[in-house]
Amino acid sequence: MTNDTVLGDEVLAMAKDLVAKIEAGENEEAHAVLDEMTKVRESLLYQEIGKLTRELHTSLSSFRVDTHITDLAEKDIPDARERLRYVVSMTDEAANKTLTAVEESLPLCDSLGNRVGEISESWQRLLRREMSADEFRALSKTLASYLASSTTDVNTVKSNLNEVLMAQGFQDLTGQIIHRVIDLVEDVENNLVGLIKVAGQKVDAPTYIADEKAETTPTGPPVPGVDDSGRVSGQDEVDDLLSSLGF
Amino acid sequence: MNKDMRILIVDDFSTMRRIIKNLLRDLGFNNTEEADDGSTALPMLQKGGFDFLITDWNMPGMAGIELLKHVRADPNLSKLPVLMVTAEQKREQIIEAAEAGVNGYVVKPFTAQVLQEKIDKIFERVSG
Repeated sequence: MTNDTVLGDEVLAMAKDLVAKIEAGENEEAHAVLDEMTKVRESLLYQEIGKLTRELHTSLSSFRVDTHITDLAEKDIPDARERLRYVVSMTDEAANKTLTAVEESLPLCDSLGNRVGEISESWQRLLRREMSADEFRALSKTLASYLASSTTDVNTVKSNLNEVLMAQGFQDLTGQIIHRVIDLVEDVENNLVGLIKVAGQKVDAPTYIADEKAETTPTGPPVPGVDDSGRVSGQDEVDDLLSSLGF
Repeated sequence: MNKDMRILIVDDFSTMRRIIKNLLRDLGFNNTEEADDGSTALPMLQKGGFDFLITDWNMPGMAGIELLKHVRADPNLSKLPVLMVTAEQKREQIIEAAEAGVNGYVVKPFTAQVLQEKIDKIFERVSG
């Protein structure tokens, strides 16, 4: 708008000058004024075109970066968070399913074992002919009930073992999900490196900032290849370290 | 070793509490209770009646190491045997736990045998 006003004032002045020159019959001067008017117009036009081109270029390049970053921030990261939450709930479910099956099976195994022990004791007495007729009748009854219940119990244990077997399917599923999240993290890393490059900083290689504030802040299970330094490799090393401290 | 002793299991993961509880039951210890972090465990311990504390380290709220320090600072609990069962395995952490007065340190994942060994060792020393 300012340009328009400037253009208007300047051109109006020139136009008046042009009319005056023509009326005075100064043809050459009139041509010069006309040329001048055209130049003013062209230079303003080129300036505008130049500005528009620059803006277009900037928006196009930032748009390209922005959509990717925006996608990552708005969609992929929350997506990954959900995936990881799902992994937690899946592993929780599998562990509980397994534990329930084991908790149910162990007492059954105990009772099967105990009853076999009792029966085999009586059986030995029978073989040594130390058993009265009454005791033998009792043994027969015990045997019959044992045979009936052991079939049921063994079937229950077997179905619980199958339950445990099936629950282990979480490993495959969570593994796949975690691999997808790893890919996403790599993508985010590459984009951040790209952004830093665009911002004009020299980036040689991604460097990892140590995430451990204090030496004894809990960090959870160490991941092999990432959290190796300063850690013991297992129970034996813990025991060695403690015994070196006088334990 | 008294198989009826009252044991408090502290871990924020209920599955880990179940695993420890089942392992203890298999070893003949049936008198167990659970808490999901140090700030839940401490009042339970202060009420009295516990003979043994098994605790994780990394928990929201009060971490296991803080719980251990509180226990050692409390005249009524200072002698309570404490076994730490944790995935934390930095040397500095093990040393800190030892200095804070832990009686045993088991790193996850662990086996039933390791748990039994450490418990046996703790009570040998306590009674010996």
